[in-house]
Amino acid sequence: MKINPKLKDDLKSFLMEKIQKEQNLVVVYSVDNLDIDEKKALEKKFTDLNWKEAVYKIDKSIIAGIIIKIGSRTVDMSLAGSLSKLSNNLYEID
Amino acid sequence: MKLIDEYLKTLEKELQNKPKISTEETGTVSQVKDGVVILEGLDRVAYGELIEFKKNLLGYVIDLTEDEVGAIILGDYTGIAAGNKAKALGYTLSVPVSETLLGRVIDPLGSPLDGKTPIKSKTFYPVEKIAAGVVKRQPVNISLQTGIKAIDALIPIGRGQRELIIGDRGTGKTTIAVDTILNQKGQDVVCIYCAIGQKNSKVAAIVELLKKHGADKYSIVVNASASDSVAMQYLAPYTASAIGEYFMDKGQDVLIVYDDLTKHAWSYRQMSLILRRPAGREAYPGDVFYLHSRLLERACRIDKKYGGGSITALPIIETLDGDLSAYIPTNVISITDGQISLETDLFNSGIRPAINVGLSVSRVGGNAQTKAMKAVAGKLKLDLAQYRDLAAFSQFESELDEETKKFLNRGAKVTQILKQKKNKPLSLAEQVSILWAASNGYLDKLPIDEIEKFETKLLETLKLRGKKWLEKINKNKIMDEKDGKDLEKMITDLMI
Repeated sequence: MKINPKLKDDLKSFLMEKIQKEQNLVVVYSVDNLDIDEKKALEKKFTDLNWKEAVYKIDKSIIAGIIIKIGSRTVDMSLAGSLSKLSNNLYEID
Repeated sequence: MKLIDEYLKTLEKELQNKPKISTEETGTVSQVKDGVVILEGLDRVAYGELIEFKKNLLGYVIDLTEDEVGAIILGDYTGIAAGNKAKALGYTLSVPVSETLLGRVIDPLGSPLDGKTPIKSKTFYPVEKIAAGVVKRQPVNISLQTGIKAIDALIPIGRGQRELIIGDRGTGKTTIAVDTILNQKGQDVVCIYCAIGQKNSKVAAIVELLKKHGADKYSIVVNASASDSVAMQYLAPYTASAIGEYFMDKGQDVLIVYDDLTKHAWSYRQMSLILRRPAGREAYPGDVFYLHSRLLERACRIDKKYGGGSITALPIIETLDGDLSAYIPTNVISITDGQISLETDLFNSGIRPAINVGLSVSRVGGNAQTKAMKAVAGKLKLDLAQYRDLAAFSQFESELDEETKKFLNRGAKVTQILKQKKNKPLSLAEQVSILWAASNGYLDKLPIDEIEKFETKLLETLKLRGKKWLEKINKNKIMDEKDGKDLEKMITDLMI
C-alpha cells in the first residue's frame, strides 16, 4: 500500500509542531506552591518565555529557590544547584 | 595558614556574588552501555561537544540522532546511572600543551600518569583538527635517521613522512619504533610514543628504556592501556597528534609512533557497534578508513613560509599470520607513504630487524636520503636484488659458475651486515662506513660468522682513529673521494 505523500507531509508537520511546543514548554520547579505575586515577578523577569502554558511542579530536593526548564535548557536558581557548583569549585582549588 | 586564609577569602568572594542567572543545556541519561551513554534532552548540543556528568566526569558527543544523543565517557563510567543529569559545556575536547610535557607520561586527556604534578598550561589544542591543506605543505626532503642500517639504506624515511611498520606479533615492530626514538638524541626532534591498548607492563618497560638512554628529555608518552575504556583508546592517537601539532607550529620536527592502530580500529569498532551504527566488513563501521586517514593526514611537512616544522608518523599495524591483505592492513598501507614489512620466518632465522626488503617500500623517502647514504645504498640495493633472484634459482642447481657464486657470496654478506642488535642505533657515518665496506667487496673473503666481529672492530677503530672522519660525514652528510680513500685506508689496515 502506498502512503499518500500529502498525508506524510501533514503528519510530519504535525509532529514538528508538537515537538516545537514541547521544546518551548516552560516548567517551573519549586519547593512549595508559588503564589500569584511570585509568578508575576517571574513573568516580569523572563519576558521572552511563553508563560501562558507554563507548568508548575514541586520538587523538595532543590532545597530552596526555583529551577526553570524550557525544553532542554535549564535556568538553575536553586540552593541545591549553587551548592553543587560550590562543591565543584572546592574540588578544583584543591 | 596563609594558604587557608586565601582560600577562605576566595570562597567568601564566591559566595558574596549574587547568583548569576545563566541558561544551561541539560539532558538525562537514559541508557548506559560499555563506555557509551545515550542521553535524552540536550537538544542544542553540537557534534564533538563536551558534556559534564557529575564532578569532573566528562563525555564526548559522537552520535546525534533525531531524539537521542550518544556520548563516550572520558573516565570511569561505572558510577553513572540512568536518570543522572548531564549538562553541555559548549566547547570541544582539547588538551593542555606546553614544553613541560617533555619527559612526561600522560593519558589521552592530558592528565599525568607518572605521579608528577598536573600539566599546567594556558594553551589548549583541540584533539580533533583538520590537517594542513595543500598550500601550507612542502615536499618531504630532509631525512629522519632511524639509526637502523637496513631502514636508512633501503627504506629511507623523511621528515613529514608516514611510514607504516607492519608485521605479526613478536617480530620487533615496537623495537624498530623505539630504536628510532632513541636515535633522535641531539637531532632536535620531539618524539611522542602513543600506546593504544597495550599492556601497561610493556609501556612501563618502554618508559624505563627511554629514561635509561636519556631519551626522556625529548619524548612524551601518551598511554591508553588495554584496561582503559575504549573511549580513551579511541582518543589517544588524536591527542598525540594534537600535542605534535603544538611543537610543529613552533617550527620543530616531531616524530609520533602510534602503537598500534589495529587496536585503535578495534576500540572504534566496539564503540560503533554499541552505538548501533551499521557494520560493514569484519564488523567495522563504514568510516573506519576515514578514522585512520584523518589521523595520518595530520602528519605533514609545513612550508617555511608558514613556520616550517613537520610531523613524521610511524603507525604500527599487527597482522595475523602475515596477512597483509586483511581489511585494516590494506587500508593503512594505502594511506601511508610506504611500509616496513616484518616477518616471523626472518625473525626466527636470526635476521633482526626481520625486515622483508622485497615487500618494504618508502614512496617519498628517496628524496630525503642523504647523499652519503645514497652513494652506498644504490649498489647495496642492486646486490640484494640480484641475490634474492639467484638464491631462489640456485637451490635447484648444484653446479654454479664463478660469477653466480660471487653474487651469492656478496648477497649473503650484505644480508649479514644488515643485521643489527636492538637498542643500538648507529649514526649516519657509522652506517655509511660499514655499508661502504660491504658494497665494495671488503667482506667477500671473510667467513659469515666473522662479519659481526669485523663490524665491532671497524666501529672501534673509527671511534679511535677516525673521529674527525665520523664528525665530518655526520655534519656534511656527503662522502667525497677523499673521504672514501680515508675510509679505504682504515679498512685495509684493519684487514691485515
